Amino acid sequence: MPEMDQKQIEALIKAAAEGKLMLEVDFVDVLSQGDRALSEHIIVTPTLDRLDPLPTLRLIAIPDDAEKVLKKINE
Amino acid sequence: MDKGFPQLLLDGIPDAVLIVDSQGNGLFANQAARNLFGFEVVGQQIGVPLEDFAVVRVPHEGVMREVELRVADASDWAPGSRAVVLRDVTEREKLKVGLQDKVAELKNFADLLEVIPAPVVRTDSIGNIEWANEGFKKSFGEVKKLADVPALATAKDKLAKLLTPVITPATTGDPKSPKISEQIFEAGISEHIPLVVQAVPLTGSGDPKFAVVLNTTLERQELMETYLKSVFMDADLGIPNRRGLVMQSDSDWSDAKFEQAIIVVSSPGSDSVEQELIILRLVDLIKVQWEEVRQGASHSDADSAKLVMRIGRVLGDSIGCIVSAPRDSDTGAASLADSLANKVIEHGLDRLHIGLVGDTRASTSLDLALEEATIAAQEASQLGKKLHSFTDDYSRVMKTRRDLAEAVRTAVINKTFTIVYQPRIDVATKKVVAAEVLARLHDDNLGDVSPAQFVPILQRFNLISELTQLVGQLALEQMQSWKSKGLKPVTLSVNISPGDITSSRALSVLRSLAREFGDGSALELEMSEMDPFPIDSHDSLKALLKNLGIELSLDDFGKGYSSFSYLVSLPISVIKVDKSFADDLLDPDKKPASIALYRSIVALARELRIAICAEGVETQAQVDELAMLGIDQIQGYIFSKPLTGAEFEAGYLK
Repeated sequence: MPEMDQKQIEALIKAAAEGKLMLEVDFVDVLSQGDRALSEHIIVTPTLDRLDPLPTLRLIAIPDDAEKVLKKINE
Repeated sequence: MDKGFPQLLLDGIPDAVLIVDSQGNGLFANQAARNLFGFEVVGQQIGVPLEDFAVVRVPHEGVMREVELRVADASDWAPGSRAVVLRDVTEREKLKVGLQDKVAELKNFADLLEVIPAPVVRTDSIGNIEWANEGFKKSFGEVKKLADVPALATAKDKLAKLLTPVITPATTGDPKSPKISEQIFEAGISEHIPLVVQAVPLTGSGDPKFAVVLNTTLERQELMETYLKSVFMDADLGIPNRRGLVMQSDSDWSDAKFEQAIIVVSSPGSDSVEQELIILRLVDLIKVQWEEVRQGASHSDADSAKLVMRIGRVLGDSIGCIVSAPRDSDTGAASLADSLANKVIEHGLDRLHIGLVGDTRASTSLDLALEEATIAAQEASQLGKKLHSFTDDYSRVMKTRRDLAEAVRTAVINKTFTIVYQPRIDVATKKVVAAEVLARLHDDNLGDVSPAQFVPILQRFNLISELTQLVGQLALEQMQSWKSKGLKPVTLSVNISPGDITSSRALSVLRSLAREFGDGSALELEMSEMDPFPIDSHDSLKALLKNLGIELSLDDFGKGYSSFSYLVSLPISVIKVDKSFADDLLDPDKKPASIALYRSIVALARELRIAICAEGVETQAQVDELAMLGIDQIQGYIFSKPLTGAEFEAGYLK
């Protein structure tokens, strides 16, 4: 995975590990799982889908700021 | 900028532009965006941009392209919506440039045009520039008149024609005014890079105004060639596409000295590879036959030179041919087109259908005439004819089809589908064992739209998983309401399609829904034999069912390609036998076969310990017969039609 995405994801996981959030994360590598990317209608990466709780939320143009992302996910 | 800015303008820009609402649902995508993503984005959850400016990556044909993403407010367009502009910046150089000039505050639609690199200006009908965006100023400086742009110096007469006030519904305020597509011309300049100039009339009273876009590639010619090709040419064939064909023929259409006729030749292939081969053969065939027609109709070379046929690909499976002839010639355009059509049929392929418009003057625009010929070709196919002429009746049919597609897509975006419940009754106990959840759509203009109408449309636009998600969400809300009232839950069965297995969002809703059941009830997923799940998805499906205690039923049994392998490979709990077999019980000729079928299915089901439900049962006679045959459950009007949540609650849960 490109370096930039990995940093963001690591930040999120770190935040989760520090007890701020219960997270179950499913990674999709769009290049090796092209079919899935197409059926999920991924238009850009990184894309973050919050599946639970409903309603689902999709975030794009995700910054390096884990706090910002977590705040949006928790809205 | 004027309100009601025509989206035709955005279609002509190489930058991909999306408009999303506050939830991230796609409302609009221009041509460049559709090319980039290769799928229908309108109605999908595209995403809420968390930053106003970012560099992201777009998966495109197996590689990642670096793309600069900018967000602008687009409330002019739809309240609370935002425009997302994507510009390919795969080269590192461009990337540095983009990061430096971040736009701080984007307030209105003019701001959107500011972030688009393409030069855009607003002019009056003489070409005086009233407003110019940054892209224009960077390319051309502080030019006051369009004619002063150096690259346009040799195209003054084309410019004048471009800025001719045109009558459109936008300018007259009358929706019935004929629509004239935007004017485009290519100014080929010898020393400079070719320029494509596009003028779109703007709304507003007073003097006519135009938005003019100049697509210039002072940097790279290849980009322009690719762009021109994508706008006017069919990507694979090297012949014009629909837009290119209309543009080429437009000057003849406007010229009173010429008359035109159109044929559209359709030949569907069974898959995309076959389709391309068929189209290639068709193009060659048409060209050869046209030569014969042309020679046959002329007395001299001079005459034959005046008879012109232009060809383009108007749809995936259709070629459009616009025949042009001088008005005073012996053989009119209509007759030439007719001869061409007959020759193509004579020498042509098996599955071929041709639509003909004999006189384009009867249509309000060339674009519309081409569409009418396309409609006629589709009608030919439905009527089992090889050649069919367009008549007005069909325009009503086609308009209805377009309106229907629009209504369905809007319903997905606005989530206006509703659900109803049809009970499944146990034959022995006469008690309800489950209810099938069915989607319903009511449109204010079109009335009730049946699933037979909206499901194919959703499939065509790849929006069927969105429907599953919506239905699941509505069922979830209803379940929660019933539980809060202390009512005993009943098994609900929800229809699913193969695409749902790879849609995280549809699965997420179904998982949430599954959690609401228990205590003798379950979520049941109904898969249809008509729309089978590919073998490679069976493991995912089984995992889903197992983890959440979801049941699986097989719908429309007997109607599709009855594949017994499903019964072996998947943990099916219920087989639902298609309505047609219940109907056959009432037909004395078909009854014996129908009984034999039911008997064998019952025997099979007993061995496999699967329950059988007969669908579409309407009479007591059928009920009695089916009970004797050993059917376990019945779903049909004899017991109940589909009911609203409130009706179902009153009738079955109290």
